[in-house]
Amino acid sequence: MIEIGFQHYLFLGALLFVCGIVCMATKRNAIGVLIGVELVLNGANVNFVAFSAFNAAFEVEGMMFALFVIVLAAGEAAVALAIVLNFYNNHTTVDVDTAEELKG
Amino acid sequence: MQSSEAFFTIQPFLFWFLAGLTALCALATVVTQNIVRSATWLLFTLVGTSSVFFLLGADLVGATQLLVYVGGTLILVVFGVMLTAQGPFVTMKASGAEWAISVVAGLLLLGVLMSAIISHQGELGPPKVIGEDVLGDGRRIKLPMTPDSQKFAPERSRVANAEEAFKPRDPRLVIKDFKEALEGVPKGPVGFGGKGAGGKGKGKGKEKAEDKPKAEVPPMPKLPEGIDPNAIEIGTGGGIGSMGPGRAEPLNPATSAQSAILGQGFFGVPVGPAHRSPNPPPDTPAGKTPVRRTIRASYLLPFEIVSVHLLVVLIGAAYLARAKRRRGSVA
Repeated sequence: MIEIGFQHYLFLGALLFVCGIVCMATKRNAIGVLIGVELVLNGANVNFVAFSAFNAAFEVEGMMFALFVIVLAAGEAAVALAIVLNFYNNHTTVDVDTAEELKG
Repeated sequence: MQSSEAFFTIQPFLFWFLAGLTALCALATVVTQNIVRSATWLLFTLVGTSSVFFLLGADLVGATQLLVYVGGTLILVVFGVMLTAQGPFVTMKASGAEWAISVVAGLLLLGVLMSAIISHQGELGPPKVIGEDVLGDGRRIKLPMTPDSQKFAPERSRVANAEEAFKPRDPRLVIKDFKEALEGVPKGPVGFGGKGAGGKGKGKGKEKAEDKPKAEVPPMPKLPEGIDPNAIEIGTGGGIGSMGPGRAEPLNPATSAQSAILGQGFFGVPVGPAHRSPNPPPDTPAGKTPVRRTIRASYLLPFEIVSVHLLVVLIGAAYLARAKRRRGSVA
């Protein structure tokens, strides 16, 4: 059994991050994209907490930033869902491929 | 002692179990085509992440993750899914080429991250800070949770450190320190420092905030309008009395030291490296307090207020956007 160290938590964070990126890229549903963003933020949070647990100089700061990210994600989810629902009211679809009005 | 040894022998199994569960759920979130199932897998991923936080000893973050994320954000997402999941949108598929490109790019990114983590193994890891006096004030802050450090420096430094962290301080000193941190920094403008002068009544505070010219932006985060400074001051004052040194004793020091320190920070007790010295100079005049020290020390409470304010504003904005839309469609 390999002993669990710092890197293992970073690996978990990286995996969550990449899952979120792929999720954002492959979902056509706008809420699927939102779910991908949540995964990315979670990956970042795992890294923050791992640093706070293993690095004494980052002890309180890491946890505080993790809490900050959680609150940020809540606000972001609220606003993104408002936008998605408005988009659904206007276009009766949540397909992000049809949202091309702002194309430059 | 025995329980902690048992914990460190079982910790690898716990980690592999929880991390594997979390990673599998995250993969399932990505792979599944049904949006409702995707949201459900996201729920399990978030719960798994919070359990990883508990495993890392970050109780407060794990609990907040459960409360805010799983209890709040995910409910929002599920409502969004239910409001928009009709017919073809439930299972909308991307084309095979898009999948292929995304997966290849994702694997490349994963490879880059993994190689970065592995190649910087020595620089990132804990060995530099085990049992050292990192901040130069004679205190060992934390023993990292590696089994090695437990073997070589068992219990002693951890417990001594925790005891020191919980050494009861004179409550008056704590409050004085707190007030110093609040009043010391900005002299003129309405910030946290102007509170004593500005907050005379509920109506007064608001008028004052409106009268102020825009140029006087305080160096510290400004108190959001609509929140009565008096209420905050009273609230934190009570918080110090109840949450301060008196309450710290029954807690289990080894596991909850960080969380308790952080929780005290959220009630306005200064935390952070600048305030780690056990005996702060009691008679420092408020005006002579170095600016950098007080800003560093009292940043938790402003951040907390601002973030709560931000959350309220965002939810209100979402609600307003929807109400406006409905009224427009009726008229």
